[in-house]
Amino acid sequence: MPKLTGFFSGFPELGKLTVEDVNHWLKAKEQVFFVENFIGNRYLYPQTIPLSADDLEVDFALLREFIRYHPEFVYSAKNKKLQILEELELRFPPPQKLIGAVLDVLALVDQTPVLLRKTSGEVRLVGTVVSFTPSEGESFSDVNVNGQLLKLQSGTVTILPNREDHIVVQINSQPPLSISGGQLGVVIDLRKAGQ
Amino acid sequence: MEEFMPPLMANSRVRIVQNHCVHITRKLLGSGEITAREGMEVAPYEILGKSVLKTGFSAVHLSKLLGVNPKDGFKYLKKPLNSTIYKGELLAQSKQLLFKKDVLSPTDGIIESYDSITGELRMRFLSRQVPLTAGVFGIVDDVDKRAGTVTLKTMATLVYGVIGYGIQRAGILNFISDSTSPVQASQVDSSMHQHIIVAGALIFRDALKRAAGVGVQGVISGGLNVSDYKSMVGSLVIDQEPDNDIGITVLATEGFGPIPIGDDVFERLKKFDGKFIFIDGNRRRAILPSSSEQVIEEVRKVSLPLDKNSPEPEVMLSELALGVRVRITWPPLMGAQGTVVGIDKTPTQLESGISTYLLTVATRHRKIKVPFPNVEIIV
Repeated sequence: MPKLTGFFSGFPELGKLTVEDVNHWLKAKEQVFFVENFIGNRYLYPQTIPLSADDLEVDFALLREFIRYHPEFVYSAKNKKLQILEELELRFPPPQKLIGAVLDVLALVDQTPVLLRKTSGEVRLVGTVVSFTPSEGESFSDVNVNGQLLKLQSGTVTILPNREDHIVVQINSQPPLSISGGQLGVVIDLRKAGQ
Repeated sequence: MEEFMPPLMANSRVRIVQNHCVHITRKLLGSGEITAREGMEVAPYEILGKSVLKTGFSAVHLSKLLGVNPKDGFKYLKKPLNSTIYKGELLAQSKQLLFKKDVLSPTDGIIESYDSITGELRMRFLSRQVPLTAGVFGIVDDVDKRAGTVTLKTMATLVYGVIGYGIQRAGILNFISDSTSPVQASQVDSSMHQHIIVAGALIFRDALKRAAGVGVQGVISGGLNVSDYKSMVGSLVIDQEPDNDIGITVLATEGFGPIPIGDDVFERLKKFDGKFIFIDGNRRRAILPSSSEQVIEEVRKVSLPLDKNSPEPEVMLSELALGVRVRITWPPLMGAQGTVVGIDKTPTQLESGISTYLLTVATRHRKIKVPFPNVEIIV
């Protein structure tokens, strides 16, 4: 009978990660021994889950590295869509933080629909990522979401809850975009490409 | 109407296998002669062969000790080159007008050569014969005279760990720590030569180096630091080959980092404190031989192929239920063991934000709540 595995069972490069690869993503840098042993135990016991918020932060760092090696796990370059498995959403909550982690690694452009694939096989549209690189020197961008005007800081990612099917988004003087919201909402990514 | 709750599954891992027929290998140290033959039934004290150990050289500053010119020192030797001399025997003597100087042999050896420029006398230590004993009750299944090995079939308790490296080695089991404390280099000394030591929750790198330096055969601990493990084997992910070796065999029973040795394994090892056991890092196990003469009778009935790549037990999936014995595989309390006395019917959201079903596990000292993915069933 097969054994219980976890998300990190499908990460063959896990054993090659360095402490720097992980600490790079963490605000509070962890000690070398802690990170090394954490990775080692993730390799031995991939089915286990973090109890503490701190342990989840380290898992998110590992997730970012996983996406760096395997972007196809969440992004279809052919269809230009993000597809998130429900198991991933449940393992790395909340969904907003999960999308943030994905965007930390992937440089998306224009509008990217976000789909959630449930374990039942159902695929649901849960939101859209709108990516825009503000001009040099522009500290803030004017973002219009269905007539609601927002001033968002350049270099940030903002998630706006919105479940509407038809949303019009305009950033500065760019042409308006017609997108869909959902359980996640609208994600406005104003970072530089590749940041 | 009660909400349907799926059965909770967990990995189950074999940690201890009792009364198992197993092959152990006894090997000559260096060159020598195997006298055992296939089919022979042996007791632990029986001799399977003899090693001849050449144990090195010693230098004696002869001319200085005699108080003579280096080019003259040779004249004062009392025994010729290539002769045998024993410790305390008169090696050389110089006679001056009013006094004489005696130089006694510092060791048993053979007078090998004299350097008339430096005045140094070189002595080769006498070879010594080291008998190879069986160490177990069993039957000789294979003899390889060229390799100097004897393979014995015996009955033993097998104790499995999760991390290991190194060939099969043998030695007296020696506890140098309790199950929870880490071990420092200062706790390892030369009295542990040829022993297999139990080193608590963790053995530090310096202690591991020192253990190898003093001739410790193997180390069993609850955990190992990844950096120390990688410095031995090169990478976290390795092919478990039967011949991987670095001069000492290590076995960690629980995982990476400081983790107390599990109660089940610790209590079993304690029964073998001071006894002759085997450790096989590449198969991630310790082999605790049965000390009963009945072993020979049992082993006669078993035909065991001489398969050097016998697989270790697989980790399997099993359903969690009340009364099942589990070990905790993620912090906090990683390594703790207990019995499942409760299974929540509704999921709980953890501090991490993940929702999961919790188990109530009764350990030796208290009851704790543990997410079900963070336990392994102990078989």
